[in-house]
Amino acid sequence: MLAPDPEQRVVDRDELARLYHQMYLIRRVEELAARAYTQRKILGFCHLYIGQESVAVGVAAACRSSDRWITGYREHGQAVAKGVSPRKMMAELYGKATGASNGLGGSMHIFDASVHFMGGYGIVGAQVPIATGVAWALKRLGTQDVAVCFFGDGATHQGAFFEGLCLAQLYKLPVVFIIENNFYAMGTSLERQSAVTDLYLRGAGVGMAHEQFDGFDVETVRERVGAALHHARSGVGPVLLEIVTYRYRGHSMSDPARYRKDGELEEKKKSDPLLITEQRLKDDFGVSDAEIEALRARADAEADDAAHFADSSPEPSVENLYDYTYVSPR
Amino acid sequence: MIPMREAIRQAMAEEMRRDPTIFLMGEEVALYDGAYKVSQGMLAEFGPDRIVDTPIAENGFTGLAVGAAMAGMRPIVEFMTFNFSLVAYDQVVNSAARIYQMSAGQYRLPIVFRGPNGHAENLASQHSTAVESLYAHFPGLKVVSPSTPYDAKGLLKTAIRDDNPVIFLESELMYGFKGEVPDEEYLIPFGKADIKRQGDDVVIVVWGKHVHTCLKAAESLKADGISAMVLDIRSIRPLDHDAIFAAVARTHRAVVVQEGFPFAGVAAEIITRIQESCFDLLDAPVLRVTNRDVPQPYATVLEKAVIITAERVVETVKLVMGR
Amino acid sequence: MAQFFVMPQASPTMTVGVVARWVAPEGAELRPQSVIAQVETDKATMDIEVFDKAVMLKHLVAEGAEVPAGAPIAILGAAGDDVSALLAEYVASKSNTGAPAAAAPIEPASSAPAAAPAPVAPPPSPPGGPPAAAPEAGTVPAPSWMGKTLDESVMEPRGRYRVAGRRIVASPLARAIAASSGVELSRVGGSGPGGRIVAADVEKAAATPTVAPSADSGRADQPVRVTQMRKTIAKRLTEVHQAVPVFYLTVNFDAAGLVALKELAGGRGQKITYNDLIIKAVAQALRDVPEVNAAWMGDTILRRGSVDIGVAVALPEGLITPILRNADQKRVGEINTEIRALAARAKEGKLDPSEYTGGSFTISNLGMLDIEHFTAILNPPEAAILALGAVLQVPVVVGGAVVPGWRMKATLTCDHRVVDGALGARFLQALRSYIEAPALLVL
Repeated sequence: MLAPDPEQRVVDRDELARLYHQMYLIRRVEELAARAYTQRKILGFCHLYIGQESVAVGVAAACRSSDRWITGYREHGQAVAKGVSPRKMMAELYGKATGASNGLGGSMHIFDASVHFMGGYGIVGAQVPIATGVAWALKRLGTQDVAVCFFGDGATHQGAFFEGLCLAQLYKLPVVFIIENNFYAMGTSLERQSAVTDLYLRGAGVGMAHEQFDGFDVETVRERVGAALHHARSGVGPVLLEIVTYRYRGHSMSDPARYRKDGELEEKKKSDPLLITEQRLKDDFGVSDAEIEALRARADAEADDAAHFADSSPEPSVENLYDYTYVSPR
Repeated sequence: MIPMREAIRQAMAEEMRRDPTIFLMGEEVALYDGAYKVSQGMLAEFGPDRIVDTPIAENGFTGLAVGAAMAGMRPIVEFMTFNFSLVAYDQVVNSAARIYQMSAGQYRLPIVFRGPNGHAENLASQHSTAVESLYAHFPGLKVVSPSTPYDAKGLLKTAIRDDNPVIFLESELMYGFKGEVPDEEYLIPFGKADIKRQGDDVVIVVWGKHVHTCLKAAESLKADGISAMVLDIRSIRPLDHDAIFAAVARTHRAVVVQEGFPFAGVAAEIITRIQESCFDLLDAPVLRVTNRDVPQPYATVLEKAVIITAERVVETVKLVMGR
Repeated sequence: MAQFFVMPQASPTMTVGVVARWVAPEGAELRPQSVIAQVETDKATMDIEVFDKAVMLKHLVAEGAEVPAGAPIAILGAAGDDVSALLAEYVASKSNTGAPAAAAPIEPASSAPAAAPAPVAPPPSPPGGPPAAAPEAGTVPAPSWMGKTLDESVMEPRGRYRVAGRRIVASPLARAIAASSGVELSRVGGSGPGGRIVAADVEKAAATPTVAPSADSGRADQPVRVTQMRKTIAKRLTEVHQAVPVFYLTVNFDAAGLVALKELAGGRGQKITYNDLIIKAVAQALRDVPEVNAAWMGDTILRRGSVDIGVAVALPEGLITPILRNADQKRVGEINTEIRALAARAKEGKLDPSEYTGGSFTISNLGMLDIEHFTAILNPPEAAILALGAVLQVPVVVGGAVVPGWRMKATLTCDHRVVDGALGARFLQALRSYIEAPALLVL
């Protein structure tokens, strides 16, 4: 097990309340995205993060704001956790000019350089070598920043995943690779995807530090990712983390997820990240129901504001269609 | 007079001295001095952080270059041959060509992908592919292919300074080809074709190593009383429409010579554009010379039947001239 | 506040959903992500959720009902909300259109004020702000490579490279035809894009003798392409004019009765034209003198059983004569309706050949163009055609005094092989009896 980051502060009442707010906000934003999808305001593919909120929020709590994040197509929650404003995020889902990528990217391609959110990628596993390259640059340019790369269990069978890991370990790059194991690659369950179901063991093959833990408790995520970041930042090389989580919804909006076992979802919901943190706030920090309700109400209002902003934003102009195909000569 | 490989090396080294964010990465580029000795001596000057040997993981190090470019560096990726770039095709076409657009301009991809393209001698099926048609298809990529040491150096320096991903196609057969390169610095802009030989009766549109095949053909056509212009477009994307259309306006006949397979190739694209814009300037259908439509065979006699030769160019020009 | 909950768009291709099962009964308390029903879509059976706190107040459709995406299936709101108004609206919209045109989505109470009821499906343009241009096919600006920087020229090149100097612009096919027919391209005008000489231009030039240019007017002669219709007209009329022995009989009808009847009808809101009345009059006259309702068939004369009157209609590229069948059996009002429909379809080029062939007599009327008198060319094999001039107010002599009167000239062109002079005159007499006493036509 990686040594904890000695500089990481202990989570206090305010910090935990902030994390709870963030997780609740992400869930509420995703619920409104689902609602908008059923109203045909969000089109195409739409992959929701509901159930996995503790991962993105825990990782963000452990990161510096200058750390770079690179991820896949289930990235709405990570975007919000990294600091992309819910307004810009939602407007991108709506395909509006005010979106994070001006409506050019959509649900799967959210980019926000201002908060070092380097994008959602739609080709499974392609972000792994890209994150390796970001880490290469962070190291060569003399920064103390780390690249954080998110992907699902389904990406761990791709060649790009192995090649990215090989290169990152070979060059001892500051990158933390995070497998968010939610047990399904689209509709294929873990044991039907892989002979090795402890996916973090893939790290052993390239000589990389590797670790697995349950990610339902945001404090655990924060603490273990903090250790991994500390390792990567110290210059000794990358880390592969397998964070066990669960997605409550189908792969995308049109997937009813009939492939789950009966009762599986209900069982998993007992360790719901919001529930765990709510209990902890009440039991260990004496937070009242009214205070919890106030946190939720604030997040509800933020999410509503994002949806309204997206809905009332202008469409992109077709006149600007060619603006970003090539960088104009300097 | 210096050989092509040295012109390419000069371009890289000069730019690397100018800009510390540039690095060269690829298989055998450092300690081995490059599979074709293009990067000979560069490790000694720039060190292992900037002249970087990679394992055989084309998709991986191409993706690495994409990420490094997004984070502020300017990678040069050497493919030992462009055949191997197909292993990395996803990162080139799905990542490098698109991130600038799908991030609405927030991330730039100043990467040069370079290496030998097309056939050499007896390299057989999997090491002889010409890839220009595979890359020129994609908006977001630029594709260039020099035919002389002078052009190679000037175009490569432009490619390294360009903020877009550039596919830079060389030829194993040309690394030893010598030409004049001036001492003073110069750059050659993309999208500017060069008339390698002036002519009045027919224009041969071509790029890369087959510029020389076509110069040879033009010389032999002189004996038949045919004055052939050889127009080296140098960059396939962006394409110098002005130069091509002006040449057609002068000669009223054109032949396009493209290495690689004929189906849906760059030659087909250029011919389409000529007929779209110059229909009334033409005295004859525009014909093309390409490889034969089969995977490259190994045996010499078969290989010679497949590749583009000066004789085939002469035959095709005569068809266009009605001879 | 109670609101409709509409059939959600559960997949991009879904147009209707079937409510397979209500999961949330009426009265159930709902939270975000509560499943309220299962719906069969084109892809799968989906759980349908709500995304806001609410109470299921009313199911609007039964299990098994097929409902278009965007149409209400339930009413949600707070416990105790009155649903009667929404229910009435729903019932009214059902009876009007079968499906409500629009219904408000469930919006949270805390939602921003501008998110007032907006139609759910199809997706509306954003409230506030002008409706932005939808990215329809063909609206993408196509940048021209000419005059643009090279980086823009990487995009889609468009535009023609201009032909400079003395090069003659002709298609390859036109050049080949010119070479084989000995036509000099320099004297051919081009009708193609940008003045390109195309094959038809060369063919036309080959068929036309060279005309020496007169004093330079600055405007070149323009060959005009001949349509198929004009070719047919030219061929047939030439044949008729050369092959059929015709003579002409001109009469001057007193049109006062026509004028009075038309005014009378107009005053009662019934629109009829002189043409309608004349068609009826001609049809009656043909019944009275059936020898004129005939055709020359080479060896025989065919006396036609029915009175089918062709009425010439001018088109931009020629003319056509739609046929009014059994005109003698129709009332004037019917004739008016039918003629207008036929003329409209003729102008749209939508007539079936059976609608403009096989007539027994033709009327050509140029009265509305203020032509006083003209003669018409026969429409073979019909034996006669009537050319009608304008109804004009003229001085006439009545009882030795000059008074204002109404007159209309008509000229009958007769095929002498079928109709002799006396027969033609008899027909015109019969026609006069109706035209000058048109009340007979409406009896």
